[in-house]
Amino acid sequence: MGYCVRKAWFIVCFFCSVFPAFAGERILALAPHVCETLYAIGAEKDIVGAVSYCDYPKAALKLPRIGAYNRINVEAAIALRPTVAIVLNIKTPGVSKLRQLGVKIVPSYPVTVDEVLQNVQMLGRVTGHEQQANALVSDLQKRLDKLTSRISYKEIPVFYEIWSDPLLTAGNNTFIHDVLRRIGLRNVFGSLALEAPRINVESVIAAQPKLVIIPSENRDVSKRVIFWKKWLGEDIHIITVNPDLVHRPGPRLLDGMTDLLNQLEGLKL
Amino acid sequence: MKLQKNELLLIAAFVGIAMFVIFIALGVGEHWINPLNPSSDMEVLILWEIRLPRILTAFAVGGMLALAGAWFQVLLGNPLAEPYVLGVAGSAAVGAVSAMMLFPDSTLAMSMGAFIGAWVGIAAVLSFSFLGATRLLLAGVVLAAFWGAILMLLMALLPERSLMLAYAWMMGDLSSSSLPVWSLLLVWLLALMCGVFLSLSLDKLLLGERHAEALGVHVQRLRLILLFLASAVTAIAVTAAGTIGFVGLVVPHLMRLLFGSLHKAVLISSAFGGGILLIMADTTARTIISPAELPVGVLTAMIGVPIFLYLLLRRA
Repeated sequence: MGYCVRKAWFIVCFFCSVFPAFAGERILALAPHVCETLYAIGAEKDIVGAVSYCDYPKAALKLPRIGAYNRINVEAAIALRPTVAIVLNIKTPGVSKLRQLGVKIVPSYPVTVDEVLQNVQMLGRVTGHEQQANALVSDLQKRLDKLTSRISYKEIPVFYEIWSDPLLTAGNNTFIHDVLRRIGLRNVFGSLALEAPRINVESVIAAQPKLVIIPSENRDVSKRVIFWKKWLGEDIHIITVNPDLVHRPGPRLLDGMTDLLNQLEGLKL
Repeated sequence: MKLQKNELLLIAAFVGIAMFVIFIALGVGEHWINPLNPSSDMEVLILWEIRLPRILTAFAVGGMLALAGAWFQVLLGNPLAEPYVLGVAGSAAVGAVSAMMLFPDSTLAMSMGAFIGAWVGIAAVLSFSFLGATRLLLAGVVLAAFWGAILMLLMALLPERSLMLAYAWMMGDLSSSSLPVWSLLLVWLLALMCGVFLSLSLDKLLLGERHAEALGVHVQRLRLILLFLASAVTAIAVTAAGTIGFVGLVVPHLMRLLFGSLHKAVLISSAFGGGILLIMADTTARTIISPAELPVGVLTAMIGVPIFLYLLLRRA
């Protein structure tokens, strides 16, 4: 009898290790957008650990933390017995050690709006929640199409102030650049082949943006408004955006884009 | 060259060069603006409110760093000494980054933090000033390592978003100094005057402490004054522009190669030469990959090293 149970247990274990999807993975979600996506496709029960900044939805705050964006505590991670780690950057210290210890590493680094949708699908496949992922993607795609058809203006030159001191903006091949492009805006520094180029006020004046977008974090927006009105003229339009919505390549991106579009339509550009 | 013999002529020559460099630096930028004939109100605003304050800050900070470097080199009797050698930059950075953690959206708090941090570092160094030059240098280097370790600790704790500011500050940033330009120029002038006043004693100190004593220099007092002066000037330069490397090390040597090692000439030419070098470096930094900018620290070394090595070889 005992032998039979043991044999059956062995077989179960064997199948579990051969077909992980049956067992349910134990996932480390090592970037905020990964965490958000997993919750959105109903894979939250499989998440065993996260990193700092995984703060949405609220329930994610209760997940054990095993590191930050730039470093993973391998011991803490392994103690959670993960089978899969979904990472932003495979070169993050600690990731290669996890791989050596038998954890499957899945990179997730979407840099365009389309890649965000593909990324949702990919994460659905990896976690065995393909149905929910596909449903989410088709919903996001519908919203995106609707949004695109609403755009009535053309290529408004925009300056995106990632940071005020030092003054940083988004260059070419960045996620923000693509988000701006998709809602019909032209990033005035879109030709710079740098990720977050440091620029000076003079260059912004010379680039003649009609609109300044300021992420509403860590800065006094009213001061920035006064500052840009001084340098770009009183008729410059300035809007703010929640950076968590448009900087994170996750499922809330469409909320951010819709919010931007609503604000833009209110401006009568 | 006879310039080193006649300091008025030397000053006049440097004022001329500085004016010329400032004029060019005012003109270049995102696009050329003729400083004598700007074509619109916006150009006037760009010239006098963006470019000029930055250029003058660069001049004052560069001059101060070069002066402080020259002083530290005599004080410690070591040609490798530079303004940050005793850890003042490190403690200033610790102060700035701590302020960044406590008051994340205030540039003023960061400058205050840097200033207080610099003085904490100076106090630490001053308490070792009774040691001889070699041990003082050793104490300073060890303190610098200590501040460096604390800085690494703070950086590891700092949220990702604040790191950008911390890095920008540590690589030197002349675009957003929160100290008014006139105050920096005033400090520069005072430092230069102190330098000229002390130059004869410094020349004697160069002969060795015992000879200096014999020539009537109160060595212990001179060392204390010098340590205080050099540290204070460094503290203000660091507060204004973050840590900008290399100017303080290379400019005094450059000036010695050009004008000999009498201190009146060395200090006057360093005060101007450091300023001119930093203006050139900063102007290059803000225009070379325009509209993007490079950190100015990159350029000080890239411009300073070839000039320095060339002069070194020519002398040999």
